[in-house]
Amino acid sequence: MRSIIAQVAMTHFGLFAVVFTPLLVLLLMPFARLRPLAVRLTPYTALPALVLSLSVREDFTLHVSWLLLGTDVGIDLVARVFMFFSAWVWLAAGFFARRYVKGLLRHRFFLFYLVALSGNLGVIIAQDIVTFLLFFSMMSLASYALIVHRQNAEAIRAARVYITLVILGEMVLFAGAVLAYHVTGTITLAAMTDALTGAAQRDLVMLLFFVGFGIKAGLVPLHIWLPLAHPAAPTPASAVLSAAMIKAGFLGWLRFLPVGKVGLPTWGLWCVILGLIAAFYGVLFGLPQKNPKAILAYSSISQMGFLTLILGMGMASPATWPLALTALLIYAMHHALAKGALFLSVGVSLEGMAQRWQRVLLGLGLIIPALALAGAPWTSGAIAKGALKQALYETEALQGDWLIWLISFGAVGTSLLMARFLYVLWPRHFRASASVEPALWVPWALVVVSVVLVPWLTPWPELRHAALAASQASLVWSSLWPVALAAALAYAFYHWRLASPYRLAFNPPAGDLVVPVVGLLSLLLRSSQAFRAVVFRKWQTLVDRSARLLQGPGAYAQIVNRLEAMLTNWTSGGFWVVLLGVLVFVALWLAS
Amino acid sequence: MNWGFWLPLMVVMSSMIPGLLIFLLPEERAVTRTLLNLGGALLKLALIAVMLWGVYYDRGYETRITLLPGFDLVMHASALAMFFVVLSGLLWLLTTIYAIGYLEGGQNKSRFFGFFSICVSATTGIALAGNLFSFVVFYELLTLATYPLVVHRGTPESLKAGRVYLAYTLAGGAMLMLGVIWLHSLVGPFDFVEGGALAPYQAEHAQLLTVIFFLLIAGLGVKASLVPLHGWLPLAMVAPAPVSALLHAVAVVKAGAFGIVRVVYDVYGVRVVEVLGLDEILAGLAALTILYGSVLALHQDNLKRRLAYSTVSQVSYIVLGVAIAGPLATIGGIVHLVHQGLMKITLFFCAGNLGETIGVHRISAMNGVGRRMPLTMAAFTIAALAMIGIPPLAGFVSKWYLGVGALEVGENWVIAVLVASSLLNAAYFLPIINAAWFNPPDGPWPKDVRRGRLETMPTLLWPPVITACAVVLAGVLANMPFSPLDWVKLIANRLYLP
Repeated sequence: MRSIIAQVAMTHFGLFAVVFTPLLVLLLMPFARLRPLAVRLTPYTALPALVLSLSVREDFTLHVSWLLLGTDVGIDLVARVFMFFSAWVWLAAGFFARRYVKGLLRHRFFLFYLVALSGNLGVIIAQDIVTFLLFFSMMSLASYALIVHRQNAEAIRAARVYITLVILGEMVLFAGAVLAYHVTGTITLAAMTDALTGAAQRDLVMLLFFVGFGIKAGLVPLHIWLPLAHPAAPTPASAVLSAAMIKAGFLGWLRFLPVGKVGLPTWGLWCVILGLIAAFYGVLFGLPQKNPKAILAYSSISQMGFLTLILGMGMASPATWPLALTALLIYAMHHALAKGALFLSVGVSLEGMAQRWQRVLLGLGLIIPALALAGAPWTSGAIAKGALKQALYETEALQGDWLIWLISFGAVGTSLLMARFLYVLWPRHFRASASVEPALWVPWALVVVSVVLVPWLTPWPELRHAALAASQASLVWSSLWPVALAAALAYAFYHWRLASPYRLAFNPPAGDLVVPVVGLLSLLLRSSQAFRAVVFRKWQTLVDRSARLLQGPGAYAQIVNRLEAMLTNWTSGGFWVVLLGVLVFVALWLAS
Repeated sequence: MNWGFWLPLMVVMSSMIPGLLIFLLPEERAVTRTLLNLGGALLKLALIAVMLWGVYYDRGYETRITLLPGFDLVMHASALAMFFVVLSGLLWLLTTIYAIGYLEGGQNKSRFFGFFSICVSATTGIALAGNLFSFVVFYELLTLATYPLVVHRGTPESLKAGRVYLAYTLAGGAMLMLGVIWLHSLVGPFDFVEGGALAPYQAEHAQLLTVIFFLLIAGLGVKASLVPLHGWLPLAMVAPAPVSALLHAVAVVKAGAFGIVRVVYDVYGVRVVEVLGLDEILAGLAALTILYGSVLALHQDNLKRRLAYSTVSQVSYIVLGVAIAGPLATIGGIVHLVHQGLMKITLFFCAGNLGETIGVHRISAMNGVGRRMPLTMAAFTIAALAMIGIPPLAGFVSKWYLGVGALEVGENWVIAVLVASSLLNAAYFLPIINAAWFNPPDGPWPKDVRRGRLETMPTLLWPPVITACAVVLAGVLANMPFSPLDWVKLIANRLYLP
């Protein structure tokens, strides 16, 4: 009995430690002398979350009535998995950032890094609407500082687009939350979604939440901030943005939508369609990118599409939900780890590599997460896709070979995107003098290792069984052929490229198999690139124009200003006196 | 001694008497003046604390002095009154401390602090007033006591602002007076009653009551700066920062809003207002003001002017909540009385700090101020985010209850107004925050007053920091006993349950 109480007390304490450890370190920041210490401690602040996610086996919730409007926090399987991969990526990125982020603004970066971290972890344990939104906005607003960090034109523009969408999202979520509370009479998420299933305004509430969190989750066409923000932010910030924080938007869907509680065939179908659109859209628009982090950003959009698709399956038939949820968790974890590793590798590979063995290891470290994301056999990607397909077979509302085929072609697209990424990033010139520091490559290597190991050593029994089952059921062939097809395309164009006259003009780096792939795709997609440029320019002018409309001295502002000038003239005070007389007269006339 | 009788009067007098004594002090007696100021503020707080305790346990405190037959000067400590009294008592203390620092080295300080104290007495009186007659007495006293504060600097600009202020408020006061007298002659003397005093006369005098309602609202709307009666407010920002802070957060603007609360709840009663169809009109007026103020705030470059237009917008949240007239919307509206006060006083303190310490008055000159004045700008940021309604800050709580309350009575359009207003709030506050923290400074500051290790004088620095903390706590601990929200729930219960 006593041990149970002790255990409960420990877990309660643990929940608070998850959120407050970063905030405690934040308290050191105002004191100039303690700032270096705060920076040193920053990575470790993700540790309590990591420990909690692995150690707490039982689900529980904790109600704190005096906090906010009555707070519920708790931990369940979803929270454990999200907390694990989020904390792990934040931890690694924190170590990475300690060495990577230098200069005058270093302390500012870490200050907001801590706030965003606390927000991200808080979102995961939040079990009521207000607490969730609180941490969500903490995370979203603090990320602004991470994106704008470099202060160049690119970063400033990216951050502006980002904050605009964040605020719009906040508003949509506020409307959704208020409406949800009105409809259901509760702010506890579980009870709210239960009550929502039969409510008259269910679809409106769901739509508001879907759009509000969709902005964070990179839902096409709300994703526009993402390919701007990820390249603009410093590498460790991009890693957490793309691996952890993007998932918080997805978590919002899981927590706020009544998935698995009632059959929503229309919603399910739409999610599947939107997911597929995002999956291909990301590939199509990611391939022509030149910046490796932009390619990864588009890849994230594409991968979030697959997650949306799984969500759609769960929505379509509640019976599938347990399977779909497992698939979702495996997929989310897989993507977070792989994408975290890939982003950090951008930072590592831009440093020099002196030794040959270092170069070999770097190459491996680049290829492994890329293969995992592509879904090559025996990687986390193959397991995730296997789990996805297993759930799909069980979904009666969504049957048909077309879906399987589309998913497989999506995998081809992912593989091509990874090939393009490797081509762009592949270090071609090694500076013999330079050497990457352990403080940079060790955190990155740890994430890469986790990409390999975690799928096989999943710490939670529920997921481990599912993962093993998926890895056994998924035929090697079905995960191999998309990657093989992509490779074949690469090979074909390798020859094509050899035949081209350009081949004489320059020598591609030795051993670079990915070059032809890119040759093919840049040809195929030049048109799409031009299209994108046009669309983007249009959007930019629209934003600029509306900003001018709001603030500039346009015709509209003149009218309003003239009106105001009239009202702030003191004779208008006299006008009210006259009006008063008229009113009295009218009133007396009415009375008589 | 009969505490039940004397306590409300003492609360009012605890700032009136120091004010009158300060008038007698020669200019150079700074220490005595400070002692009188702070002593009065602390004594007042102590008295308020005693009274608050009593009101919580339903003990009645009422001062009733019959001036003429039928004209009683009544000060009654109801839950609603206490809510406003606590706000003014606490913020008066902080503003006094701030003003002492702000006016250091200035002139005419005895005049300033004398009227400053009277101003607070009048506000307390408005809060405690137990009938319309007493309300009008204190309301007019407030108008007169504020004028010398607005024109304190004596510049042509401030004199012009003072003229406009008087023209508006005196005309408004006259309308209010007319309405009150008319009502008096119609139904005889009556006190404020939770739930409304006029219900028995509603059928008989429906038309006249409507006319009088508009007279009252027009009179109160001048101070509450309802569009198009707000013209004086943006001009009055030429006053010294502590005056603006008090004007916008506690005294004048709030007096108008509080008067509207009184008229709707305690004079007419929600039901009568609804039957007469006045709630829709009032809500529409409030919504118009909310949007109009925000739109105008967008293109002001003078920081205090932008804040002034923001006040025009934010104060109408209170009126909106009152006009929607459901229990939850009432909570949202009335709690905003305190929340808006805390947020806006923080913003004005910060604006004053920037002006006094580094000579920055315009938003276009605010690049990089966060590095020079981190604590001030941190407070500013918190208050601004709260204005936008970011959880868990105070503004979010108000907005939440307003939104839920509007849905409760089927006024769905209010959500659109809230969302639009929040977006506009974001559009005019976020660029300031961005400039302060994320832009590099343009050059040396116009002036630079260094005070030891802190970024500015401690008397200027700590008040905004404290109020910013209050903004956070009012949201984070909203469900705690004795939080503003909790107290408002008590008020709403007493309004709606019987």
